[in-house]
Amino acid sequence: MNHQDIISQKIEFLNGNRTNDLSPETLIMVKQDPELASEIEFVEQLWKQTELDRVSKPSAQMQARFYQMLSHAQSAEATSHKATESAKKTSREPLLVRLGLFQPAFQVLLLVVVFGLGWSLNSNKLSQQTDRSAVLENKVEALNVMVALSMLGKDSTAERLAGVDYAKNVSLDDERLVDSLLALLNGDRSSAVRLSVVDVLAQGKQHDQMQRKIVDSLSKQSNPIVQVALVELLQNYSKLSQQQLQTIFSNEQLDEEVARLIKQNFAPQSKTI
Amino acid sequence: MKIYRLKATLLMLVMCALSSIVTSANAAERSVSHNLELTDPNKPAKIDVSLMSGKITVEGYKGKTVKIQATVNDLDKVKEDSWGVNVNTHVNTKMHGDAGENRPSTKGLKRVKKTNVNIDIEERNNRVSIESHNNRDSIELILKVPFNASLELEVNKGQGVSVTNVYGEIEIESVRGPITAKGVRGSIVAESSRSDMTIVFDEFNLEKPSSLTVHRGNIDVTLPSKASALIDVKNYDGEIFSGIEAEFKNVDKVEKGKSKGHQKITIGGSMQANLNGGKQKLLLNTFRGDMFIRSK
Repeated sequence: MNHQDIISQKIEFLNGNRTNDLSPETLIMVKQDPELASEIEFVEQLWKQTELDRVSKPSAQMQARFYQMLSHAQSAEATSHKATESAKKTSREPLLVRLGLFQPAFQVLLLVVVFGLGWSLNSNKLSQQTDRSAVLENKVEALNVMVALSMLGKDSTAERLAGVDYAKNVSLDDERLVDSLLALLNGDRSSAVRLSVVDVLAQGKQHDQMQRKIVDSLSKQSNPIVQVALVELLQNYSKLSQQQLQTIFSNEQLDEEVARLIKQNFAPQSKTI
Repeated sequence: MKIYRLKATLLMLVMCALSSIVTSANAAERSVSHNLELTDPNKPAKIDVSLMSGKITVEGYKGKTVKIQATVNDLDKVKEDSWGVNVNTHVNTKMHGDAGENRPSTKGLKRVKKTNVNIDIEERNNRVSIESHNNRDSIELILKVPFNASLELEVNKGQGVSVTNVYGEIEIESVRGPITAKGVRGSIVAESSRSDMTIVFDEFNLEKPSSLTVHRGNIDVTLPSKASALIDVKNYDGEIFSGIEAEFKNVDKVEKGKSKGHQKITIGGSMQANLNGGKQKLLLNTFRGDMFIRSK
């Protein structure tokens, strides 16, 4: 008898297919052979485990009772769910009814609140944006003034002309720019530059100090075209005083035609002045 | 960087000594010429000329040096001749005014002809300066300059300024003489007090504005038909004749209502024409004179 036969006998016994366990002779053999003994022990352990896991099939009565119990449990659960829903519905109903009466008012109130919040937030944003824009505009304006001043100081007459043209688009609030333009008006060797400066100054603020400076410049100009342009510019101001007229007529280079125009439009005997 | 500096007063005297000058057969004229090398011939030159009296003629050419030719007419000679003074035996003292009344007699002396030319020429880093402050000499200056040179020309009295085919930036001031510039491609700013001005553009420069001003005289300007110019005209007393394909419109009319205590006036005013988009300004100003604006 080999190992396989002994193990098979053991399995048959454990499985109930053999009434007798291993014979005493076979047991002696098993004890003498450790390997065989180990295998027999493994089979016994395995069979014990299998026995633990084995579940007996329910009987027909048990099955019937089970389904009866299941049916009771399901119906009980359904009843319980309905009761809960009913309870919840009952507890909410009065509040909704009450709210329903004031719903339009609440909606209006909600709209007002949302609108108010939006307006407030927007106002803040607009205000911030306006502030930022103002700061940015000031910076751009300052930059424009710097560029204009730089161009007005160039050696090239064409570049100075370009600078004066550039200054037309810059605010004349900056005193440095106005002073620089007046310096060109009184001292630039090019009549074209001086003439262009007159055009720029015509866009600036009209005040007594500026009028005095224009009168002063008119008393120095030699080019009749510039003289005429300054006379045009003076039309934007109030009438000239006698002293101012004397200052203008002190210019020995004042063109006769320009002098006539000044007398015609600014002399005290003029009906409209 | 190499700096080339030249004082022409000395130069001219040296040149006289070496007989490298060409002296006119006319005793009243002295003529010299010089070929001036630039510090960097590959860069554009800036030529600055200032004369008290005479004429400046500048012509662009293909070379890389500045060729200078100066001819001097003695104004004293002209005056003396016109007043019937013997120039060889200079005995008349009238023309020297009060200072001449006590002048020692020149009887028996011969007048020594001046052969020097008082012109200062200086070159530094391609900037050439040519000046003469001598009010007694009328100098006719003829320059040949590289095409791409820039010019700044000023003459107080005399025969004015003429420029041909110089493509750089041009500035001209001629108090009494006429101004003519042809083949202009850069910006030009020109001003004359009492003479006419004729400017012919080959191209109208868009980088910088151009301006032509005549106090009393006509302006004749010719533009390429494709020039993109915003032509701004100020003309107090004169006519405007236009051949360009753009309409002139009044843009600056001074009118003040009597309600503010001011009389309503319109003085001169400004007219504007937008030619081909008007990308750069061309300012035309005259006090008394006509304007001829042509297209080619």
